[in-house]
Amino acid sequence: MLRPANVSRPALSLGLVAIALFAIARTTGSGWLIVILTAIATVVLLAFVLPVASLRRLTISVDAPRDATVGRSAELVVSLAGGSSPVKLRPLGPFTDPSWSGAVAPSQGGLVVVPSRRGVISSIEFELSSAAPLGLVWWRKRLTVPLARAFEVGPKPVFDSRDRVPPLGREDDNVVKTIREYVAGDPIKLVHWAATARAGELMVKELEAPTAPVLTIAVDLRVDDPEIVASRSAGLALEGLRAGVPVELLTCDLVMGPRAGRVMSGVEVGRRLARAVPGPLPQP
Amino acid sequence: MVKKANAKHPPEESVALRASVLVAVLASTLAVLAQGVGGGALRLASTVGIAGGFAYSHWARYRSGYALKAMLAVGVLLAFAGFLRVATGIQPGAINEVQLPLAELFLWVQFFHSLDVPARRDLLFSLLSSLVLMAVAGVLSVSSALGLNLLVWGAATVVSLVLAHRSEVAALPSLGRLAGESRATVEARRSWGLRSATPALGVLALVGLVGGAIFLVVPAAGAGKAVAFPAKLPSTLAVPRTGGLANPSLGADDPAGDGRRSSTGTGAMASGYFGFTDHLDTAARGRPDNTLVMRVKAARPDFWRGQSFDTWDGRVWKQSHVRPVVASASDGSAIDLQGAAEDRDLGALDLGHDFVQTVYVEQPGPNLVFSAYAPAKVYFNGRSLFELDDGTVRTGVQLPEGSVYTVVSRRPPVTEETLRYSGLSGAALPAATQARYLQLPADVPARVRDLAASVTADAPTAYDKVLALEGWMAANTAYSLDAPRLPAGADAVDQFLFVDRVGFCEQIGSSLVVMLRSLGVPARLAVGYTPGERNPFTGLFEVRARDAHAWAEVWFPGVGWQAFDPTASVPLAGDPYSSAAGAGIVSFLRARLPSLPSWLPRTIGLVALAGAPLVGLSMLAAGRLRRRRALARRSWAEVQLDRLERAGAAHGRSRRPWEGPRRYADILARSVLPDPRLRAVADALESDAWSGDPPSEAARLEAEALLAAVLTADSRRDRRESAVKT
Repeated sequence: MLRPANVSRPALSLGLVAIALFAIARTTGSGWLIVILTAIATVVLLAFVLPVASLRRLTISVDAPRDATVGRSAELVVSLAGGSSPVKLRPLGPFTDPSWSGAVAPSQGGLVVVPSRRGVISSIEFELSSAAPLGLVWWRKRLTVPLARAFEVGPKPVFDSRDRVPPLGREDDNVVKTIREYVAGDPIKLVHWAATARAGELMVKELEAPTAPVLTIAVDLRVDDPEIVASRSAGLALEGLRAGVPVELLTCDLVMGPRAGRVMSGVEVGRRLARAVPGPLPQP
Repeated sequence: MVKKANAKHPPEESVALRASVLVAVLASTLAVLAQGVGGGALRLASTVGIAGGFAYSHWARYRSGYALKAMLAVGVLLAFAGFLRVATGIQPGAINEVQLPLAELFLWVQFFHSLDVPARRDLLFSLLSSLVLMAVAGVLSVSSALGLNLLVWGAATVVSLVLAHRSEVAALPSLGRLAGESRATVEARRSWGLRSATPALGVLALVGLVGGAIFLVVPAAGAGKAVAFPAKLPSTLAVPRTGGLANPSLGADDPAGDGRRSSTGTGAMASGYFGFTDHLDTAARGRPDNTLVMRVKAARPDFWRGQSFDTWDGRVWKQSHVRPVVASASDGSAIDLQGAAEDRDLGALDLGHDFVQTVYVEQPGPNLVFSAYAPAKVYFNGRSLFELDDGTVRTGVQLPEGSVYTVVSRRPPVTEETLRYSGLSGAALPAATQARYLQLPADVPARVRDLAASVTADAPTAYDKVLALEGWMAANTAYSLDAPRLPAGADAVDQFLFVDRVGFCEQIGSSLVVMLRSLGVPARLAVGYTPGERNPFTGLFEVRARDAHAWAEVWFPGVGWQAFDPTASVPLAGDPYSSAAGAGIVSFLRARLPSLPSWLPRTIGLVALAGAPLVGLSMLAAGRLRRRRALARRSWAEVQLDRLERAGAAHGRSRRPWEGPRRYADILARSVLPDPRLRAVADALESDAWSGDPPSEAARLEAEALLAAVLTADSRRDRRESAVKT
């Protein structure tokens, strides 16, 4: 919906001067003052009306990247069409401190935003403001622009020192499965010296395969502050991935409901957590 | 808040904005200077100084300039002190005398300000102060010459506003550069979009159209209470006889002369009117020319009366009772008048409402003070005035060009009804006065009296009698400046009513007065000017020599003297009168703009008809050329990527900013352009764009051929699919 946003100081000054001129014209009888007054009134009238036409003609479309993270900048590609007037625009939410950008339609360019909350964003509300062409009265209009592809904003990862990533199994800790004769190529450190002494020939240890723990994170958002849970889950999952531990997330998906599944990368962690909502979790 | 207001604003880079503001400022300062404001120093400062100031401000826009600001503040204070010095010497109540010193102060302030306009906000302030200056010029100006300055100022102001707005938006962070878009392209787009003043032309056209429409309905100036009463006397050359009538424009007929040629040696001026002397000979012929003799600033039209005649001899009007009484200023420059005795008896000067008129003399003429009847107060810079008992006011000095005086007339709110029933008041003229205004020569032809009686037989009141006689003359006589000469010995009224039936205002007015007197209705012949043409821009009535006029004044008991004229339409004082500022603008402009030759519109139409296709083709060719040049500036990879992007976009898959050529080609190949050859094309593009070893010419040609083949196959596929669907 269109609404007047701001009458600029020059416009207010013009209005005051116009009132003064009218008073002077009525008391001095100066016709020229009426001519000047008419010109001012016309300029103010047009300054009031023309931005409306300018904003009405304007259309906006947006391309957003699929992945983003709370608190980190992401670039939207904004395309303006219709008219050729200067316009100010800013995305309203959910972004941190959206600032105004200037553009002249038709135009296309990148707009850097910082998402302020986690979630799946399917449309973005923009505020457009125009005072074109005279710059005296600003009108604004809010437009909700649907995205061709959802903008999935993952939580800001926070690693809490209380969270622990299980260590991967170490070779020293491995169990000896059997002892066999040495085969050329076996590492010397596997030689079982006691058995060699007993058998009189080189014997080597054959070990059990190393243990492979899985980090399963149950992201239960049915709490007072689900965002902290989501952030800690992201931090823990990324820490696990960094440590090489397989990570499994248990979430309640926005569309699919309870969902369990491994995540292989930070992007996947972000997407899963972006889509997570408070709800029942699957069994691990 | 103070801190915010004084916060330093970023310097303005746009030279175009600075230049357009300068044009607006210069247009306004020149407009003020044209009103005779300021001496040589101020004139130099207001023109060359301001232009230089703007240039300096642009050059020094990044400097802090504290020392300069301090000096400018001192300069403004000095100018203000000078203004105060002059203003304190002005008599209380003479507000209009403050106008010129105030205008000079404004000009000095504008000059000092022009030296420190680094930011856009400062330029906008300059624009606003130029508006104030233009308003000052508007108050001082009484001629149409201001229009040119106003046009230039208006155009420059609109352009400045448009540019300032674009500059404001350009100062914001802009949409960022997209993948594949060169910085130069972004800058070019920004500079075209945000610096262009092209929209200003459209806005100017709109302002003209809408402003014209508003001007037609906005109320005219000057209907409120006057606070300034201008008066000016460029020279004080006394008339030859104290209290006497002088009219140098009549040459040898100047009543103050000795019957010989005037001192100028040129004889009568073309603007001289034979009625502005001590007698009016209805046998005289020859009308004044089109010379502008005076401008009258008044809220509504009226007869600008000079004097009246009361004694008729059948051919010539004369004045009896010519005993001028001195009227002097009691306070300041205002001179209170006694008014005619019969008006004083009625108390008309106390009951009526004030009607202020300021007269700007444009041509030397009689020393009569022209005004609507009845003048009650005159603002005049001469020491004294001379008042006759018929309401005539004379000055003691000649009134040269440039003289200005303001008259406050007092007019009872008269309507038709008031006049019709005026006889019921019972107030009658004193016998002597009645005899004076019923005087007729003994040899007035009987048929004149009979005609008056027969025409007014059914008119019960004096007002109805006047209307009946006016009606009869309108139906039976004609107004013409080529009326036949009056034969020797003939009675002028009889000749006009029964023989010629053609005459001009002197014959018509005299006939009305004589017939009314024959019916016992007191009347006299007044001379002066009709209201003249109202200039819709200045709001002033422009009175020309040809507007010199004679009309009848009729006495109504209880009301006083009222003007009647069958040939001129002037509203009564009590009639509602409202005028839009732009009323009459079409006829005003038509009379002044040069008329176009009849063949011109047709020729313009033909040229436009023939030229339109040519212009269209030229624009098309220019557009192609522009695009081709733009393409020529792009690299091979950019051009080929553009082809690929257009093909993808045609299938609804534009390239995302984060997608390089290879990734984009892969996506297309997997989706909307299923052709593995795209991969090879993309490899060549990436190699050309980013590798240190760009592909050879042959490789480029091969990649181009591949892309062409892919696109051709795609279009064939599309055609096939659409054929199948059909």
